[in-house]
Amino acid sequence: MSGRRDDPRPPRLPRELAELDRELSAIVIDERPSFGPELRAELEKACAGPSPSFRFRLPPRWAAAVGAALLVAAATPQARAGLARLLPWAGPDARVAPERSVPPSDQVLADEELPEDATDGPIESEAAVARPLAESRGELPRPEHTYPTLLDRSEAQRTIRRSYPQALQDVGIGGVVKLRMWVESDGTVDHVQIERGSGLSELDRVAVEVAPGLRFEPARRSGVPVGTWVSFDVVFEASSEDEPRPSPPSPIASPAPPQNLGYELPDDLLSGEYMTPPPTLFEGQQMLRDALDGSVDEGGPLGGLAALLSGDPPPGVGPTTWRREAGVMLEDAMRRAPDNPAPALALARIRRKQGLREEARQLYGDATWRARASRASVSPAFLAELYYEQATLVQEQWLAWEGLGRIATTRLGAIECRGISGGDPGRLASAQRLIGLNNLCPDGFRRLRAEAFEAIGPSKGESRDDVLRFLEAAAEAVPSHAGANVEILLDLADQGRWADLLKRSQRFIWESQGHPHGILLSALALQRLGYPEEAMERFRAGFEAVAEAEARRYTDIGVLLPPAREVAYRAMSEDERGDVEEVFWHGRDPILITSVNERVVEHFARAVYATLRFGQQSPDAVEVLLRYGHPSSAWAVGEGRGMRTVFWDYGAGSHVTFRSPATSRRMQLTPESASYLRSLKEIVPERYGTGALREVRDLAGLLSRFRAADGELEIEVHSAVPDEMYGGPSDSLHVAIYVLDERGDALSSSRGRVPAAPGALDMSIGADEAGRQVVLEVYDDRVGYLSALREPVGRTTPAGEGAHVSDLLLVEAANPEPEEVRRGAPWVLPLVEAVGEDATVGVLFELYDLPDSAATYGLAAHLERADGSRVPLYSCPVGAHEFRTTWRRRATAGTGVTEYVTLDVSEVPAAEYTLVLTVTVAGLADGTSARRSLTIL
Amino acid sequence: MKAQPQLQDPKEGSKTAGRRTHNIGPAPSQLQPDFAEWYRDHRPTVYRYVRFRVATRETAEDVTSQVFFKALRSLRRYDASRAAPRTWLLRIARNAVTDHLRSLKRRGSLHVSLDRVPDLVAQIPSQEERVLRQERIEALLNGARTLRRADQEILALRYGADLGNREIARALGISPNAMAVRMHRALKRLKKAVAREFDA
Repeated sequence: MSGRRDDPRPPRLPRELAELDRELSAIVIDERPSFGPELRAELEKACAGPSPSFRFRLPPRWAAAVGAALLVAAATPQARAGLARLLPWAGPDARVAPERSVPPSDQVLADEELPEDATDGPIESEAAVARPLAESRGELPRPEHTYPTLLDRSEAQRTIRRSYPQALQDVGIGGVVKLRMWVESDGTVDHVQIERGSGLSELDRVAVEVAPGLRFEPARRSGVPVGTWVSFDVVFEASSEDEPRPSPPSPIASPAPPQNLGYELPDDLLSGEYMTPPPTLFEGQQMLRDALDGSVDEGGPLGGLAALLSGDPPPGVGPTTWRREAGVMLEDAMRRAPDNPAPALALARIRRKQGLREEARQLYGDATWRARASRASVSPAFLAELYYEQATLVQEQWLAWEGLGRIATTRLGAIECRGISGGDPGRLASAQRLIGLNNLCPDGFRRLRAEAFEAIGPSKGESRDDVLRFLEAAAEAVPSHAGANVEILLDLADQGRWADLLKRSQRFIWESQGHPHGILLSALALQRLGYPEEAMERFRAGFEAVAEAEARRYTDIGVLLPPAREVAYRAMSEDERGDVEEVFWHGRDPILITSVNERVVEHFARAVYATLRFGQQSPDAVEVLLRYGHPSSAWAVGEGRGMRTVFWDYGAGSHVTFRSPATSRRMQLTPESASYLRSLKEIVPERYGTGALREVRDLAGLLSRFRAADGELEIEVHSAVPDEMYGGPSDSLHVAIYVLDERGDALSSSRGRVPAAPGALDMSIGADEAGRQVVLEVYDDRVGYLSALREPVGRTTPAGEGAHVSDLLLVEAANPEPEEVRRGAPWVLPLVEAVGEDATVGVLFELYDLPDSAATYGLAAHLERADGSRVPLYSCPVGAHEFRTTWRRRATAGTGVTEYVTLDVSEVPAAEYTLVLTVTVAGLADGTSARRSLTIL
Repeated sequence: MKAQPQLQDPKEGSKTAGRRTHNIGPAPSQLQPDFAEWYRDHRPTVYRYVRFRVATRETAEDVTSQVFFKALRSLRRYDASRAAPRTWLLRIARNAVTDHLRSLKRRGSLHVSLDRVPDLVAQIPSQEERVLRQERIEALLNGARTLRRADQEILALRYGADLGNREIARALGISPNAMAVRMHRALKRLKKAVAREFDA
């Protein structure tokens, strides 16, 4: 150990600290064994560039392979882990001798740590021995080796079953604990660590206890058993049977998900390598060729099979003639080949593009019927496509009815808006008139909608249920069908069925082996269900899995910025944007006490919904959703000519109004709303909280800075447990206090718990020179409810030399003896909120750094209004006040002199003021003053 | 068994048997520091310093990687007359940790939970003892996280990087006496913070 022997530490510690020193010294920090080699490999890659200083030698034939592998590796832990598996020479640290060539045949034996995920499969799965990444991908040749295999699987299962706490089994609670452990060369297990917990400490503990009892066939290198790290899933699955259930089939072999999917999903499902149904184009063309019996000429005027199947005429061919001739040919083929769905599908597409929806629907129905009748020769993917297209067709028709209704003109007069009267009986209010009312009298308009809006139901066959029926049929044919599944999931989101959305999206993720939109929608559900931490992880996984440009759309904050900054932001490079985003979100974390920035998670949730629901076709709707979240209600009125006016109600202010074609989700802001939103952006550019389960309310409190006994400046915050935070399910509440710097970084913090009961809440924290804001948070983690006080603080030391006054602590003036008033005394009640009329306010303050000669002081107090005018309260010259306490004695302890005055505010009119107190000390020319806001009710 | 740092700082002489000192010349311009050797000798120290200050092993690995990449990039700016390699690397590590903590946007991921410390108790054989120790380490680290940055640094240099008094003083650019006073205060504040953590 360097420097320790001749440098004992720490010098002369008192006993209580020596104990702490011993404890801290005993913390063992060991690196993951393969970390060193992995990092070394990365550094080596960097060294391959301009810097010649990193002198590792590498045999040329390995260097070439390593170079190729490194080119594709990113500097992330996952990449490093992957890299380690690809680099057989990167042995444990002890063998990394920089000045020595590394003979590959020896070094593979030293490769104990590399296959760390060697047995990544859960214990109940078929594959107890997984293959290393490189081997399965075949990127690099590597010598033969074997990985640990569980010796007695059924015994292991019995052991786990025996250890599974009965109480948890009874209520059906299970989980998966991912362990990381060292399998010795003799097959025993050591160094068991939890890599990813189940979320239940009880299960985690049991898994760790069980693991040392497992026995493995050890890993081997050239036949020699060696120790190795392995990752191992211990699965606790609730079952009424005594014996464990048979192993579930591999998800790749069979897409059927387990019955009970928890929140946790295996990492490999979040990796972005998901399953897509096979394309159906070729199959469709093949069937069409069979149906047409070779009567179509690829170079002919009809454009061949591809054109016929797509429903679009080839370039340069008149559509009317083409449709007529193609129609005749396809109808003929339908008659000739009654089992073949392709001609009906091709014709349905043509009719759909002609706008003949009814006819198209019948043809789709016909095609589906034929496909089902000849199911043996039609693939599930083709069938799913048929259902999906039908669903989208019905959806177009149903969209015209979504939220649609009417308001009779006779009801308009009821809202008493600027003399507007009702109209003729039997007439309906026009969309333009409603937009006008919405802007003139938003509150009255809201009443009007509640009282006079009559919903209009869809006609037969155009309901949401019809759309869902076809979507479900598509998803049944191909469980991983992305289009159908995403539409179903978005529909659940539209209905606010978040638990169902989570369940269904988990299933879709499973079925598709990790479709990113499933991942993102499950994250949305988690956020809405009040699990932002889990949601954040899931969002990140989703963003990794989608294309970069798409991920960019979810993380973009342009619309939240003021117009000028938005332009600059859009012109920035990727890195610069990242910086802007970081700074932007930095100051917007509504709840510091939690481990996640809820506002960011909410933004991601909004962005995912908005992008998947409205995509690129309705940027207006996306912007409104990103800024203000989901409206509390949405409704529409028809405009004739296939247009609708959609009203989004946010519960306050005017409705946001859009014009939209009746059969699509394209929505464009009305000019009135565009102008309204422009003005609103200046006042409320965006807001947190729509749909967020972690509600944030203001906490009343009083903040003062005084010197502590050690002379250090301390910030005291006096508040009380808010009424709404007791009486709930929690017995205690989390409290935390933070001092934040200019950037919003916590310079210091302190946290604890208080009973969820009425009572004062006084906390203190060391003031920091760089501190700019103090935040006190009271958080109920069971209901996700937060009360927060955020107060700015200025510099902690006065600019000039000489005596100065502390902050003013306002206290209830009803104290028996002024002499007994001192900080921290239980009978001194800080004045947390406003005072009523006819009141007297107690002001406690301290004077610091008084000159030795000071014996008396003068005092002046006044109230300042917001417009700068003053209300004098009290004024006495120097000499009027003697120090209340013997300050000389106390000053030696580094504290100030505590003074207390009462101020009569009974004659002061009710308003918000700033109380200014100026103290003048004999011997010092200038007075020193302190300010405090004071509301008189 | 705790891994101990093996490097003898060149400024402290070459007392340890079998260890080579960094025989680097006085003129920075002529330097050809053996980065591979630095990496081998100081990575454990840097890693342990970082691990003491961040919540998880994965983060510690990431930050340690950044430190060595930064060091590699700035190697030409290294001046042996001003700092020993370890001091220099630790300075980079301190900045990297600060950057990392900033980037967390003061989130509570600073907060260590039981499932994040298993790598710190891996070598304790008994399960019960391990759980107890784990809880205590959790409280200690969480207590340390609530301290001011300077306190955290000094504690991490001592108990994470395992440095001696003089080396800590050199790393922080203060006198050994001032270091001792600061260490004393930091431990006192940690004790208070840990008591609060346990109360909580």
